Amino acid sequence: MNPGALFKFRLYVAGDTPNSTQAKSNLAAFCREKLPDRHEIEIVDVLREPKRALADGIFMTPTLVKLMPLPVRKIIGTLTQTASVLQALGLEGTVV
Amino acid sequence: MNLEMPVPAADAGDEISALIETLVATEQRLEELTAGEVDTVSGSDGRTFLLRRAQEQLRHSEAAKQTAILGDLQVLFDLMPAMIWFKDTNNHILRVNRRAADDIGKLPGELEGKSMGEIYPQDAAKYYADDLEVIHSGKQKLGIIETIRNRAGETLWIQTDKVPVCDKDGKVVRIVVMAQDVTERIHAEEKLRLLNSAVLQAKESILITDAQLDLPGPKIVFVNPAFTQMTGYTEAEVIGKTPRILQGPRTDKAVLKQLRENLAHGEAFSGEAIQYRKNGQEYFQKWQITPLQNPSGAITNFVSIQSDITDQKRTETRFRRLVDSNAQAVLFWNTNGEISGGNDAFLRLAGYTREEMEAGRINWVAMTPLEYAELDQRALKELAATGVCTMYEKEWLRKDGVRVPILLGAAMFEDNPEEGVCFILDLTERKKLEQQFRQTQKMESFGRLAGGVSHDFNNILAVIKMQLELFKDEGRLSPEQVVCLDEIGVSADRAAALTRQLLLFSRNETLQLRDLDLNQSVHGMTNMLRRILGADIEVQFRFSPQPMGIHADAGMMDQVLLNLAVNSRDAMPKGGQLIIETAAVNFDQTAQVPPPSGRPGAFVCLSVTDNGCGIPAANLARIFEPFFTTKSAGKGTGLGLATLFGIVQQHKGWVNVESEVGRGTTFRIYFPRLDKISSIAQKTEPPKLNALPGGNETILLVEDDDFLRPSICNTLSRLGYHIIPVSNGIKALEIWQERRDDIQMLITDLVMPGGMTGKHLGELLLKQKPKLKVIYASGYSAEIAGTDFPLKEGFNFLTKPFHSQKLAKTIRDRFDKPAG
Repeated sequence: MNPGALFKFRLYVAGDTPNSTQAKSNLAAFCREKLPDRHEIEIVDVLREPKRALADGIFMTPTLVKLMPLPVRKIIGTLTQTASVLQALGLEGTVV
Repeated sequence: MNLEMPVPAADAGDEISALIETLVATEQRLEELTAGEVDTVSGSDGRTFLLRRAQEQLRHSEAAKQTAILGDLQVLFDLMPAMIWFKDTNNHILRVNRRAADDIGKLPGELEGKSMGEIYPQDAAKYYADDLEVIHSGKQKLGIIETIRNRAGETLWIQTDKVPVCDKDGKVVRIVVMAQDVTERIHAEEKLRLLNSAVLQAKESILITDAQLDLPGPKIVFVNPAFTQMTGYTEAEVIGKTPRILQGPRTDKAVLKQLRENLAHGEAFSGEAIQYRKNGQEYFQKWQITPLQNPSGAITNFVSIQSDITDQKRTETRFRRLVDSNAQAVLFWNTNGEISGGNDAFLRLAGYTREEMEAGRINWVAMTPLEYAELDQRALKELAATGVCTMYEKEWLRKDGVRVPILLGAAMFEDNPEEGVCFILDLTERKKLEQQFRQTQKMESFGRLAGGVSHDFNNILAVIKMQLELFKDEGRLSPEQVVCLDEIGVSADRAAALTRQLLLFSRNETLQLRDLDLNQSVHGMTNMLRRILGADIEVQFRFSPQPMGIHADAGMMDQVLLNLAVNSRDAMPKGGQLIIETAAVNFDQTAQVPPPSGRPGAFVCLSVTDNGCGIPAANLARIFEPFFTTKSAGKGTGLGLATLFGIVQQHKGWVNVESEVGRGTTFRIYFPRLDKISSIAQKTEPPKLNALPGGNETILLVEDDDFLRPSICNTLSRLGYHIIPVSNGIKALEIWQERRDDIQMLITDLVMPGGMTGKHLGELLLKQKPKLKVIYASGYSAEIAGTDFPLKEGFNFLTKPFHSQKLAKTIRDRFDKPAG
């Protein structure tokens, strides 16, 4: 995998609920640390845009979708478990 | 009333319980499945469920957020350094913040609900007017600058913003007022405004440059209007230029060099130099430059304050010229006695050279005789106290040691109490004049004395002579007795002549012009002249063979001769020869007219020649000046030749002097010569009394001398006159009252005791009886009679002592001849 590739994320949250809030801050910290200057994050509040969540097949919040680089991956939860997140995102073992 | 309400079925309870259990179980299972990390789950139909824990947490966080916001707002409200009021539209306070309440010494709660009028009785109306504007317009009003009084009664300046709060219909329901204390700012602005107007209105020109010292030099960033007025350059013309535009060919380069050096060292500068206006005109500028520093100490600008001192310089120059005019001695001194400067007049007076003065070799103390040191000290004290000293007289020791009397006035310089200026008048001439004046006064008082004595003496002589004549008239005397009486008469005449000489000497004599023979006059003086001249001087008289007829005052002629003789005597201290000569001379139109004021015609020349020391040419021009004398003090009045000159002029003549130092002097005096000499009285025997003309008129005789009065009375009675003798003017007036109609003549002495002079009496009686004949008599009269009082010898005046013959003739003439 190209180590300089751009990561595009979309995080589905439900307002300022605790898990969603935590997921937002974990994702921001993770990106700042692991993917500085090569990430984009889009936040979708399902309480405001319920139809979009349905259309995207999101059944729980918080849910992180890695849109780029392919393949698309989904991670549900607060993103507290860094190791499993890395694994899920295909960044496992990558020295950044 | 029957209300339809949904009522749960009575049997629904069990089912509800069962469903809740299921709900709780479902929630628990969802939690387990999502490991507690999920907040919402959605069904396939899109319905989203917020899990219960998330719901609770969300609810708490919302509440906490609200609380936090409200808390922040409260803090903002209370701690903001502005005063905030919420007011309703009726000028009532809804809420105020702590700052606003503090300002008037209350708690916010105490103000709520109060009307503004209660809180600010004086200013509420003014504030509300602005409120109403906002309420009516619905628009905010910002930046109102106004005043407010705090609890201490101080007036603060505030800047107020007023914002309307509207309901959903747009109607203003409240108004928010926020005010900030801008007192300091306003004061600072006021101070700045004052400074600004001071700079703009200053009479001194003010110029500010940057601090760029590299060529071409600091550039002008500001000038005030006075600069434009002084230089003619407008602000726009000079901004960005350097002040060098004001300099020109006559600007002192040394001053500019000093200026640059001072500025380079960050030091202030002050100086004076010629500058140039825009139109090229020169002016003298005095200026002071001060560097301005920013807070970190770096010089950012130079401020130059300039004034046009052209007028001052001109005044200085004029004063300088005044000093240089040398009309008076001027010197500059210091309290150590050093004389640092002075004009030529001073140097001449002190006898020093300018070089000696500049070398500091003139010292006031050294120039002051010891006895004047105390006077100087007193003047110094006065100077220290008042800045000037009263003028005083002292003496100076000139460089050659001669004492010079001076009058001096001194003043201290305002800017330096150690130095001053001194004006000095040389009193040498004045002192000399004063001494001469004193001498003249002495002579005058001697004259008065002599005149007074002569008067009485003449009265005595008059008695002697009249009694003699009466005696001789008796006709019973032996020839020997007649000879004795004649001898007495001759002696009395000589005594009268001596008295007359005394009067002449004191000049207390009326000018009595008559025709006379100058030969006779000179001859009459021979004895006296010999007496005055002494034995060492040989006198020669050379009389012209024919009579020298002139119209003159005999006494004056005697004085002229006397003065010349005395001068000649003084010119010959060891003796010599004096020639007195009379001669007839004629000057025709074309030639021979001797200077200085001669004219053609027939003249008598009286010349007096001595072989004395002579008169130096330098003095010759001045010998007729009053008080000019070369004789030592006390020996001469300096009036002799001046008197002579005056007498000769009065007689329409002139004087000519020839002199040679070491050889002698000749004075020639010319008088107009009379054609007819027949009128000159020939000396004859006096006729007998009974041969004299008489009359029967009534005469009032006023004579204070108790011996003379009966003599006159006796003589006139014998001539047939009716005489009423009285001794003074007052008694004369008494008689006059009774016998005014009878009295046809008044004969009165001019000088009498008793408070009424003869002149006064005569005037008084003439006023009452204009036809009255008046004859005045006196031993002397000129000064007493006055210039407005015409006296004519033999007409209305008799000089005492007089012969009976003259008395009789004058009286008869007065009665018989018309006035004129």
